[in-house]
Amino acid sequence: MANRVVLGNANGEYGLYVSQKDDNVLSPNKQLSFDSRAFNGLPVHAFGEGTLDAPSGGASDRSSGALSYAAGSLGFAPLFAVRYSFAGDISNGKATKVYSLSSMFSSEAVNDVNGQTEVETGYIELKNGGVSAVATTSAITITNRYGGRTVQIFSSNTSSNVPTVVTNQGAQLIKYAYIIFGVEDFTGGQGL
Amino acid sequence: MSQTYNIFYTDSTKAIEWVTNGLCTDEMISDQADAGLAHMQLELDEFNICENHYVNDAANGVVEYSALSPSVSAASIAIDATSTITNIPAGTTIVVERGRETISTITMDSDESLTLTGTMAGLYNFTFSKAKYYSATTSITVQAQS
Repeated sequence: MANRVVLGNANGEYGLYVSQKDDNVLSPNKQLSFDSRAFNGLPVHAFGEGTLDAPSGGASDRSSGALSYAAGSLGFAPLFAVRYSFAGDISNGKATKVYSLSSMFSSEAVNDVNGQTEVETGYIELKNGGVSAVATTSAITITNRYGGRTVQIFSSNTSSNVPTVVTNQGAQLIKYAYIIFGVEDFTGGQGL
Repeated sequence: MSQTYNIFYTDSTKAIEWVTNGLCTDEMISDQADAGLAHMQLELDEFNICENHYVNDAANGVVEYSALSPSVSAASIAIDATSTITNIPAGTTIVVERGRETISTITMDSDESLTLTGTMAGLYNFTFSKAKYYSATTSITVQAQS
């Protein structure tokens, strides 16, 4: 039987070494089963890519459906990584720029009243941007929050000095890619 | 190398809403249907094809947008002179901007042409957009009186 386990000095370096069956750990002919000098990567459980069109019709966002992991439920919420690009970032089918998850939202309500003429206009201006993702035990959902700028007038007794109504001005389509790792999330749901 | 892509689209307009090569369960497809999105699968070499495309009437392929090609009779006119933009399909939305200010939004009727009279000097930008067409822009300069 070959020596298969060393905890200590092997060939001048201290560590834990395990060889494959019938392979001598002190002079291995095959890749070691475990080598404490090696940096272990994260096991990939599932991955995919796609497109989410720009939010429209005044919506602030657009979500994918729940994209299942090939092997079903993991029993824990997994670590994940999502990156995205805009359409203009794609050249010959490859992304030249990618962005990490982040999102912003602003809402400003304005009530403009002229005390002398009693002319009154109330409107709300919404701005949305970014991408977010939620990974559960069995599926990931990605949301395009690039809804752009929307101005809605909620009250007005004048036709002059009224802001222009806009809907999803500057909203953007995104192209996304995701990886689900076979380890439990340790980022508080933020992903890598 | 081609892959199977799941395409979710609005059946009435054939507009593609989102695309994935990830695993789509029957339950998720049903949920999307409840949200108003139809589903089809396509073998594609690259998923970029879904951008600027819509689903065909038979729901078995995608079609690239057509080009909007508005034609301007005069790109520069004097005050009170006119310029006509033709070859605009009915239903096209036209946003007129002077500088950064949006001054008008028009929906093209069956005339398919727009005659404009220069009443104030400046550079006027026109953006044309219509479903299933690439957007197009053009501009007209109204010269200041010398």
